[in-house]
Formats: sequence, structure tokens, C-alpha cells
Amino acid sequence: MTILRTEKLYKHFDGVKVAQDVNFSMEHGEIRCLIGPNGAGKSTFFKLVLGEHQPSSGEIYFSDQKITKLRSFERVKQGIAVKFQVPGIFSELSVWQNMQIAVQNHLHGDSMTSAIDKALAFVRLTDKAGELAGELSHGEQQWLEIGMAVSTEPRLLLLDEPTAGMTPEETARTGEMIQELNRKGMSILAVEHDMEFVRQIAHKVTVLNFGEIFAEGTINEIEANEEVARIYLGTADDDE
Amino acid sequence: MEYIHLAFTAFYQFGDAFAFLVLSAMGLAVIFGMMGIINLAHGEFIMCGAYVTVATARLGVPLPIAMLCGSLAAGILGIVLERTIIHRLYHRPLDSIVATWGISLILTQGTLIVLGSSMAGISTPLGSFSVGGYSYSTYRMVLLGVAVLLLIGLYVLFHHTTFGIHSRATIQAPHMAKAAGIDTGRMYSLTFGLGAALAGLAGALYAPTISIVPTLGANFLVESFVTVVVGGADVFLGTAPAAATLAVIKAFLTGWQGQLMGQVGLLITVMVVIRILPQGLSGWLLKGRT
Amino acid sequence: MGMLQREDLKASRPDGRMPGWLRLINGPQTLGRGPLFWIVFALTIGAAVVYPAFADAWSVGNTAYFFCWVFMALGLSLIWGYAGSLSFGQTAFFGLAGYTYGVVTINFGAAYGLTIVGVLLGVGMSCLGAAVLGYILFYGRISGVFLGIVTLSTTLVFATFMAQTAGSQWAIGDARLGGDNGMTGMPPLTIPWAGGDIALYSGVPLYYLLLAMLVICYLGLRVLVNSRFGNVLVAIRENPHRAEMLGYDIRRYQLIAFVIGSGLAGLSGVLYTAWGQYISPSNMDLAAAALPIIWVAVGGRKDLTATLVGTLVVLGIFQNLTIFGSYYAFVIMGLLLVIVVVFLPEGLIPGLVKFFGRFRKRKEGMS
Repeated sequence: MTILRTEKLYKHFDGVKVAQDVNFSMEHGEIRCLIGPNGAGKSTFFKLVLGEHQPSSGEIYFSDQKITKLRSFERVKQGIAVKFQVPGIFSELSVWQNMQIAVQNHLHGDSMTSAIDKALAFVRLTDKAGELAGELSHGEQQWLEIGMAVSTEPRLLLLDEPTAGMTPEETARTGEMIQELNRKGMSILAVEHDMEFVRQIAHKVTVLNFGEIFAEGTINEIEANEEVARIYLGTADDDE
Repeated sequence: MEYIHLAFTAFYQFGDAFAFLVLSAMGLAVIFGMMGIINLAHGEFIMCGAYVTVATARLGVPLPIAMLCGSLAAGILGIVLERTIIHRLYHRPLDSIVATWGISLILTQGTLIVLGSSMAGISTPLGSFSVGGYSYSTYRMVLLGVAVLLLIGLYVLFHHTTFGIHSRATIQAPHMAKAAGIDTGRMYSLTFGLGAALAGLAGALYAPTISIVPTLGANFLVESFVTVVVGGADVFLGTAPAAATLAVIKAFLTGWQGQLMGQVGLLITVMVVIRILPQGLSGWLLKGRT
Repeated sequence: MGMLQREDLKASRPDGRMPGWLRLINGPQTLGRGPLFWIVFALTIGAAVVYPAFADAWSVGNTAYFFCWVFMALGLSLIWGYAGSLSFGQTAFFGLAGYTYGVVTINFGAAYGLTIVGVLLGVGMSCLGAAVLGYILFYGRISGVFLGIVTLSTTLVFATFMAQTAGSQWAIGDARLGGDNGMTGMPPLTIPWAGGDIALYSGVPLYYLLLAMLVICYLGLRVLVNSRFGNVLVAIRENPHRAEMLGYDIRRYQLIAFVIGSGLAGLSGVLYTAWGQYISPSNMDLAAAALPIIWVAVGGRKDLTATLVGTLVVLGIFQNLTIFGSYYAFVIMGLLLVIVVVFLPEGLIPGLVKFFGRFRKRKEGMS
């Protein structure tokens, strides 16, 4: 059974094709990484899955249920959570309040408090519960957002460049977090540039290029693929 | 003969409404489109233009020159306000709308204190002409001509002059513009001043047709807001087609049910448009073009 | 909120010993809290209760008049301060409710508690109007400056409409709308009573009624903004996109806040109309619409207490200035608004709290 599947997904943006015949699928319990040069359509794909864009044609299935017509918040309620690249935390509220806003939709009273405590312990922010989210370090803000995303125990977690701007230690710690979540049964789809990190976590890798699925396979297969290496040359990672 | 008269009446009413919408919205549209600020003191720039026009005309200055004076005065007022207050709020667009409302209060009520509750007006120039035995105001047709010329003039100004290119560069990429040696602060001032001068011109042009009271600006506000919301952020692709569309509705409803129903119709239109075209007409036109 | 001190934030973690409703009245989305605040609060209420014993009749009536307006200000604080939606059209709901009260009570009289029906219908009409307008706006994804100008345009058109209803054909039953001169002749609030109805003309009984309503409304709103609902409103204000991605239908929350806030504007409208037995289009026009914005912005829109205090203070200043002429009062109000927006965008009271918070922190740092 697939956790996420798209069927002949197309998206045209002012005449530019940003998703073309994307037939993507990933299994329950999988960690999938989405890679590709800049402008390959990775964030567009995320936005289509999250319902921020409507596809020009095609269908999206979550756990074999069609979600193409659902609004963003309805998809989230079905069990999809997201952590954006730029931390989307509520910076003028405390860490605790941030967590509460994330959790209160699902849980009440004591079970909410314990879910928040658990999530804060998981992302190692228990001591910072009373601080303003905006005053956390960059890495801590990223973790807070992961904590907010996972506190509701989603079935699918979307991560947009989860390690962007992190130190090597923070990156490694984030990788451990992702693997720990996965062991508990969460499926994870991550956009990532850091190939070392991809090697650490990914079960399978999908390469996007010009809005199309260019290649798919294990990290070893992808790294051995000369065509993949070629699309990265020239368009390039030089700004990474 | 009756048909010619009907067709001309329809054209006349449309033209009158179109001119009013374009002229009252233009200043607001330039400031919003170029700077992202909704200027709630827009009506007071219109008022300033009208007052200065009437005052100078009554001194014996020829009317067209008096009108230029009115427009210029509003422009100078705009630049002064931009330098003292507005420039502090560029990174806070929601606060700028509130602050300009404060400015609007100060200007309206201040004018009431200094100049009293009304001022003797001037009569509408140019008389009338007749088509099929019915007479029409010549001045209204002149206003239509001015509105069209103004649209063309602004297009040329923003697309074919150094000022326009610098101004658009400043708006689209302030850092790049600065790096290219453009004085961005000056560009903002001038753009705001241009918007204020255009608002002043609207006041100047309509001064002979309205009673000169400090709150006269409010009579232009609804039309200008509606035109800018329907038009969207692009001054040329937005304002002109929005004004044309709205003019049809306004002319029809005003002719049928009076001034007020015209406004109500505009308001309903704006809500329908927002529902189906969230980016306004210009967003929709730009999308369709590419 | 950025103006909170660290120890306050620690308190944002719910304390298990407190009963839920008490916790909600206390924080975290409201500035004043803790024992000291509530002692001051109780003293203030006490002072307000004994005030009529020490003040002349005019002052009591005038304070009641001030109280009429505060509901609208609190409603705007909810919509603008907490939910982050610029609504510049609160006076439209004020006027709608006021005229509704007039139409109901002029036609059906004040007996049998019908003025209270008038109040409820007035508030109901403003909620209904807000629900319709709000549905179009929020479900049309209108936000930011556009929300402000569409609500303001609606208000201006409504005021223009009411201003041209001078003719005798503009009447609903016996109630003449009255055009620019407004509607007059409605009865004051009248409480049905065994020994004969009590008409609450401007005076001590009305003062106590309004004071009680104000306290209930203020505490009720505190509970609302500190509840789960309030959390979501603040989340929408801070980052609407993120709030939606946490599974909230932000349109629904914005609409509910708008309806509640506009209902409160309506409550102000009926109370004002009953107080002065008069309502006119000038209560809604551009200058009138600016006043609630000024009260709320000057006090501190993101906090109910700051809004409440700010509104009463600004109303007092405004009234004292009108001695020199209302034009002067409006000019000063405009100046006040510009100065606050430019230099203290959070408002005067949060600005002061922040200032003293820093001061206290520095002192603690030294010792």
C-alpha cells in the first residue's frame, strides 16, 4: 500500500510547465528523498501535495484516498504534516505556545500537555519551553518546527531542506531524529541537497528535472547514474 | 435620429463615468502600484488640488494654469509628507494605511479650521453642445479627453523615460537600483509626489463641478478604491480596463437608479471580482498574456 | 507577544492547579496577569462602583457615555489586534445596529421589555451583516490592505445611503430614517419591572448596567483570546500560511472573529442610540470610522486591557479637546494616530510595559 501516490500530475504556471506527467509513489514506512537541480520542480511538487497549488490535471492519493480537491488544512487533518525550509514558527509566541497551537487541534487537556512534553523532549527543547520562539538559534528553530510537525503524529511528514543552514553536528542530530520517527512508523518525504545527509537517511531517492521524474532508485544507483551527474553539472549546485 | 441620440447619451454617460474613475483613481493607483501603499489621504490631495485651483482662478489666473497650480500644490504637499512621515513606513504597509488616515484627518479638519466650512466655487467652463436636440456639457467631454491623454502620458512616462525606468527599477529591486547608482529615496519621494499631483489634478479638474468643502475628497474615495482593487497592482493593465468595466456598470446604474445605486453597484462588482480574480484584472491579464 | 517578560512566558505553561476557566482569564494572550494585576483590577472595579456616590450626575452620565463606545473598541481589538484583519468598517455595524434599535423601538414602543428585543435585534443585525460581508471577504481570500479598503468603502457607501433618506418615503413603519439629520425619538433602554417599567435615561442605573456589561464583556473576551480559539487567532496574525498548514481553516476563524467583533460594534451602536435617543450617518462617516482605529491603535491593539484603558483615556482627551471645537479635537486625534503608528506601532501601553520590563531586567542584572 502506498502512503503517497500521484497519477499523471501536470502543472502549468503562466505557460511554463513545472510538473509534467509526474507518476510518483512511495510506500508506507519509507524515507524518500527528492533531489534535483534548482528549478527542477521540487517545491512545486510539495505545494501540489499540500494543496497550495491546484494541479492543471492529474490526481493525488494519500493512503489510497483521493485528496486532489481537498484544501490544505483538510489534507493536514488527514495526517500530512510539513516542515518548511524557512522556519514558519510563530516567533512572537513562546515555544510552548507554538507547540500548543500545533497540537490543540487533535488533543485536549492532559493528553495535550503530555504530547507537547514528549515532542519537546524529542527535539531537545524542554528547557526552552518558556522562551520566545524568535529568540531561538537557527538550528533550534528548525527543530521546533520539526517538533510542531511531528507532535500531531502524522502518517506522512514532508521536510523541505530540513538541514539548510545547520552545523554538521545539528545535521547529524536531525538525521537521527528522522530515523527515529521513521522507526515509529512515520513515512517521510524530504527535499534535500546535502548528498551525505541523503545517504544517511534515504531508503530511496527520486530525481526531478524540468518537472519530470528523471530517475529513481537507491542512493547507490543514483550516484552511479551518469545521466544524473550530467544534469547537475552546468545547472549546478554551485550556490549550495 | 432617436437611436443616434440614445447611442450618444450612452456614450456620454459612459465617458463621464470612465473619466471620473480614471482621474480619481490614478493618483492612488500610482502610489499603490509603485510603492504598495494604500494612501488614505488620497481624498485630501484631491481636496488640496481643488482648493488651490479655485483660489488661484478667483484671483484671475486663467483656469488651465490655475489647475496646474492645484496639481502642483498637491504634489509638493505629497513630497513633504513622504519626506517627513511616509518614508518611515515603507517596510510596514499595513501601518502606512493607518498613518495616512491620521494625515487625512489632520488635513480635512485643519482645513475646516483655517478656511471654514465652505468656499465660493467657480462655474463650469465651456458651456454645452447639442446632439439630436439634447444638450450635453462640453467640459465633461474635455475631462474624458484629459483622462485618456493622462493614461497615455503615464504609460510613456513609466516606460520610455529615465524617470520611469529608474522608478520601476527602484520598485522592483531596490538593492539593485541602489547599486546601479539610483537615488532610491529620491525616486520614492518623486513617485509619491507624482501620485499626489495626479490626485490634485483630479481635484483641480472637477473643482468647477463640485461644491468646495474640506470633506470633498471623500466623494472620490469609494470610486478610487474600487477601481484600484478591481485593477490590481499594475497601473496600466489594471486601472484602464478596471475603469472601463466599472464605468459601464456605474453609467448604467446611475442612469437608471441614481448616483447612490451606481456606488452600490460598484461595491458589489468589486466583491464579485475579488472572489473570481484575487489578483485583480491586471493579475488576470498578465497571466493570460504569457 | 514581544513585550512579555521572561517570567511571564514561563507562566504560559498551564498550571495544573488552577481551574481551566480561571487559567483562561489570566493568560497567556493578555498582558496584565498575576496577583498584582488582579488586585489592581478589583480596586478599579471597586472605585468604579462607588464613583457615582462622589460624582455629580453629569459626570456619571458622561462616564456611561464613554462606556458605550468601549465595546466597539474591544471588538476591533479582537479583529485587528488579535486576528490581524484590518477592518476599517466597524462604524457600519455600529450604525446598522443603532438604526435597527430605532426602527424596532419606535414601531413597537418600550413596554414589555421591547427595548431589550431592540438591543438583541440590533446586535443580531450587525452580526448578520458582518457574516455576509465577512464571508465574501475572507472566503474570497481578501486580506491586508484590501480588506481595509473594502470594509471602509462599504461603510462610506452605507453612510451615503443613510444620508439621502431625508424624504418621507424613507420610513420603516413609523420610524423615519431622517437622512443627514438622523433618526430621533426612540425610547431609552427600559427594564420591565413589577412596580412599573424603569426607563434608563442617562444616569446612575444606566451607569451600573453598562459597567456590569463592560466587565462581563472584558472578562469574556479574555477567556476567548486565551482559549484554543484565541491561540489560533494569534497564530493567524503571526503567520497565516503556517496556521493553515497546521490544519486550521483560517477563513473560518477570521470570519468568526469578525462577526463577534462586529457584534460588539453593534452593541456599542444600540447602547449609544438608546443613551442619546439619536443616531445619524455622521456616526459612520470617514471621520467617525477613524475614531475606533485611533482608540485601539493608541492604547495597544494587541491587548484587550491596553485597548480598554486606551479607549477610555483617548475618549476623555477627545472630549476635553472638543471644548475648543471638534475640528481641533480631530486634528489632535490625527496627530496622535500618526505619532503612535510611526514611533510606537504596538501602542502606548505595551510600549510602556516594554520600557519598564527592560528597566526591571537591567536592575536585576546589576544586583
